Amino acid sequence: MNDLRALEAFLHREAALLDDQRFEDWRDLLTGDATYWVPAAPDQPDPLDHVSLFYEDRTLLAMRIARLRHPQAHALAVPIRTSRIVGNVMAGAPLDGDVVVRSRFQIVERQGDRQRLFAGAYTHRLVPAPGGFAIRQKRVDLIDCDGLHEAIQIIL
Amino acid sequence: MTPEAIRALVGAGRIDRRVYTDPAIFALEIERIFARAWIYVGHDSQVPRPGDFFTTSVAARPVVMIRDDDGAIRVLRNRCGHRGAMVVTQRSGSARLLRCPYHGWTFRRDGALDAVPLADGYDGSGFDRCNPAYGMPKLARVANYRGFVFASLAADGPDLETFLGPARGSLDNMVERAPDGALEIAGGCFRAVQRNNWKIYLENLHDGVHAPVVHQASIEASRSAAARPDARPSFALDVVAANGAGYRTMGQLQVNCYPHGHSDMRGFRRTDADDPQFAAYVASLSARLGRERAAEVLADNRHNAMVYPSFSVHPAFQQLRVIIPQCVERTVIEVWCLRMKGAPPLLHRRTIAFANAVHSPASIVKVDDLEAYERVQNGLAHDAPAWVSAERGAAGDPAVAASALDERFIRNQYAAWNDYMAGAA
Repeated sequence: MNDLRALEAFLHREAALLDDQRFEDWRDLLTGDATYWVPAAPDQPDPLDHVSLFYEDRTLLAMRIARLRHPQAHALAVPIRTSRIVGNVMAGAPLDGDVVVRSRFQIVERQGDRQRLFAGAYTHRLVPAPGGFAIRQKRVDLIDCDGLHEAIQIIL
Repeated sequence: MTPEAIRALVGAGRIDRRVYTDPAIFALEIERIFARAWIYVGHDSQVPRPGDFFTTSVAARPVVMIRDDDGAIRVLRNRCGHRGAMVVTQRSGSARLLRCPYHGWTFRRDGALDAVPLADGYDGSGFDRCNPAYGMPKLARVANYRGFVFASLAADGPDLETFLGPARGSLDNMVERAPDGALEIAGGCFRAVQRNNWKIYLENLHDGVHAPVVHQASIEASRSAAARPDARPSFALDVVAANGAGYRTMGQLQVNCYPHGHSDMRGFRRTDADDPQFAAYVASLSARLGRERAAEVLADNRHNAMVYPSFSVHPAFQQLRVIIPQCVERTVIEVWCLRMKGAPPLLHRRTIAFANAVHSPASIVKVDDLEAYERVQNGLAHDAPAWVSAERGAAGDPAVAASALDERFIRNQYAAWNDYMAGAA
């Protein structure tokens, strides 16, 4: 039970970093070989032979975050706000010594007068690190992963 | 609208704003352009066996592309001949017969009516099972160019090869790059909805001037990420960085304009790779084509090509875009990846990585393009000025290819638009 509380606390802290737009601090939660993966199909087995909404390592995430911070990112001229809830946290079977934790999320995104909702499942592969965990992989399965999308600028 | 009134909308590189905003003009475009031209439907690898089907739309009409028993590909109206229900709602699948879920009428793979429950109830009526209107009618024309399946709602007009004209070169190049000489759809699809008229998207395809402005943030972000001490080599990062090539490079890129509104543009991204798998790919391509021809095919670096009004390809990175207008200010773009048969896994993985980098709805390149398109759409909602400009490069010699700094390809699209909308085509 204590383990689950620790996992929940970690996921809540991660969610807060993203909602607070502390993207660099969020990236610091990642291991050196980490990947952030948002498949474009349900149950997508792999990120290399099939397109993904996001499939990024620390280098590509550094690029993404640098754009999010750039004053000439025109699609962010009207700033975006998000508020997310993470719940239904369950520990999964360990994978190659990593902790696997599954959860559900909903993110409300606001930009100007437009509001929309993202929903789906998170699967985190975590490794123990000083003060908690580091993220080896964050997989985000949107319920509309294969749907019609408008621009997605936030980190889910 | 009279033909004269339509022609007056698009004179000499000035385009009346209503061309992008008037629902009546949009409705006319669907009937006069999309219902007459050859429209891309799908790739034949999506329906490899008899009964395999794929659903999409042609000129706002839902259609089913299906492989018939004799191996031919049919494109049928997705509509039951009884009460009009849409027969197939899955995106793809396989079926012996297509069955309407309402009253159970069934249709063969060529669209002919197969069976009707309680058929004797039609005795004494006008019902005629041989009348195609009681089936799922075939579109007037279907043709397959090297795997790319097009259909037209119009019974007459140029055949597909004539329609494509020199734009065939980009499809040929894409196929010739495959060591086995064939492509297949593989690796999924992105579906993006854009808040802009369909033409605003087409008018950006060879626009080399927007890149350093629209993409300034992602270009500079790619440079700062690459400069980090922990940066790893990344094909996707290079793809984003290449948008920063600058006006001088873009000014040297040829843009060729062809009849019927088609066009293509030379590439500005490196298409080879320092990798043993890429060397193996070149070797297998050379084994089939000969070393000299293989080198020619690979050196023929085209960024993209437009087959007006529905289809665009990236030959060097094996992907295609399908333009599906929804209404005057809403457009769906589907991006599909192709696998070169006989190529090592690395090649398809580059195709996937390219698609993720520039075509994902979350691409840091694409999101700023979408912002620009939407701002154009919103700006044109105001009534003054009455027109927009596509006049850059007007002094260029029409006998010499334009560059990616010219808007000649936009004027070329409007020459075709005029022909379709006001008569000649």
